[in-house]
Amino acid sequence: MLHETTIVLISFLYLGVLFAIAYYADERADAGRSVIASPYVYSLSLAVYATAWTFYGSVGRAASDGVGFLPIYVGPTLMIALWWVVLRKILRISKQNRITSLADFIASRYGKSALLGGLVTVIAVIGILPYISLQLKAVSSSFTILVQYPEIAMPATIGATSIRQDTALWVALILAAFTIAFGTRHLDAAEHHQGMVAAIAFESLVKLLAFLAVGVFVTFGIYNGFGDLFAHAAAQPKMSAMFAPLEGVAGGYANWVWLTILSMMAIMFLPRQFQVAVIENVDEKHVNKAIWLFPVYMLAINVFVLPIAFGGLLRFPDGSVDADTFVLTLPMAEKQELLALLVFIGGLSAATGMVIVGFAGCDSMNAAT
Amino acid sequence: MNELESKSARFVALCMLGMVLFNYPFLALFNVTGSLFGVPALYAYLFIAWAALITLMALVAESGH
Repeated sequence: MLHETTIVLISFLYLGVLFAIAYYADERADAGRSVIASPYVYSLSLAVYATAWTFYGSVGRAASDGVGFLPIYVGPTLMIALWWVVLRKILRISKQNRITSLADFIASRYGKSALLGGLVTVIAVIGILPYISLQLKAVSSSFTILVQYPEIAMPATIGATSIRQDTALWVALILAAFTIAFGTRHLDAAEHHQGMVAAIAFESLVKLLAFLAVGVFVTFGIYNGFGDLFAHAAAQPKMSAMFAPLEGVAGGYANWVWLTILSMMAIMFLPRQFQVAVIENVDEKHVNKAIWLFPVYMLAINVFVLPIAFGGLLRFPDGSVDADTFVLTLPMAEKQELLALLVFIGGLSAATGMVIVGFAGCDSMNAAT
Repeated sequence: MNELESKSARFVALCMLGMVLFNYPFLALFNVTGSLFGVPALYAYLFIAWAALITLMALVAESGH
């Protein structure tokens, strides 16, 4: 049974595993046998791009816009096609100048301007705070929903909880401890946060597997494959309108193009992406494999978004269940406790990965300026 | 053109190919309520085009070893 204590214990166990992985990777690094010296770990660490917004939010967006959410994940692939030219150049400049953060990099391009570096840091810190709080909110909402099992109730209808039950607070404290232990130790540009990168790569694997598990369950467990699921959806006028969402529910083509361009910029210049792609890169050769492995990851984590969205709309037609929670509530409604628990851990991975790298990126900026 | 330059040129070409594939008018061709292989046409097109682009990127990235 999904008892509250069980969920809390498993969550802490999972975070404990993260600490263990990070500790092990740091130890290995000190012994000169790095675990992150692999193009696969590098590619997985880049997938910190996929946050709780991806994990829960993509389905929510797809449930109203159809494939309107997709430019956010296709755009990076277009930019990554230029990585062989652009990223390798940035890597060389950064290694030469011993760059430790995005702020440092921008400042160094303008004659080591400390003022500019400071400004970038302030903007990044202000920008990242609401982002981090939304990740933590996703964790606490999913926790609130999961403990209601087998009931399905939205957090807004449940009411306030005490501080002891404020999961967001406890998770934030643990993540702060993690970041202090593994994300902030080295100030020397030649060193990397090996433990942090190893843990992030592991989290990327967990969130992908959890999401794929739900996707396969909805598509092939509840329905008989893609054709069956989409045939059911096509019978509903509301959903068949989402088959052709452009110039319709998802806005015009211009909207699509802007989202694509925005996400092309995001993959290069989000502080956390710069942190994992540039600062934590240990070998320029890893870019070669990441150029196609990372887009493959993005494709894989998006294939089942629309099927889950339609599955949710078909399962909860009255709109009482928030589409942002379909990933979690669909397995719950089908009495799949273990799958629901796996989803919760997947969402936790997506949120904590972003928070850890976000914290660490800001920390190195503050240290550098 | 030496090998490094031609590899760069191929990647730039792939980026431009992607910009064309994921833009008007190609999107408009598939932005219809019909189905392709039993799935919505636009959904099918986007994922097939995306997979094809990634495959080409992999071929270029891994070439010249």
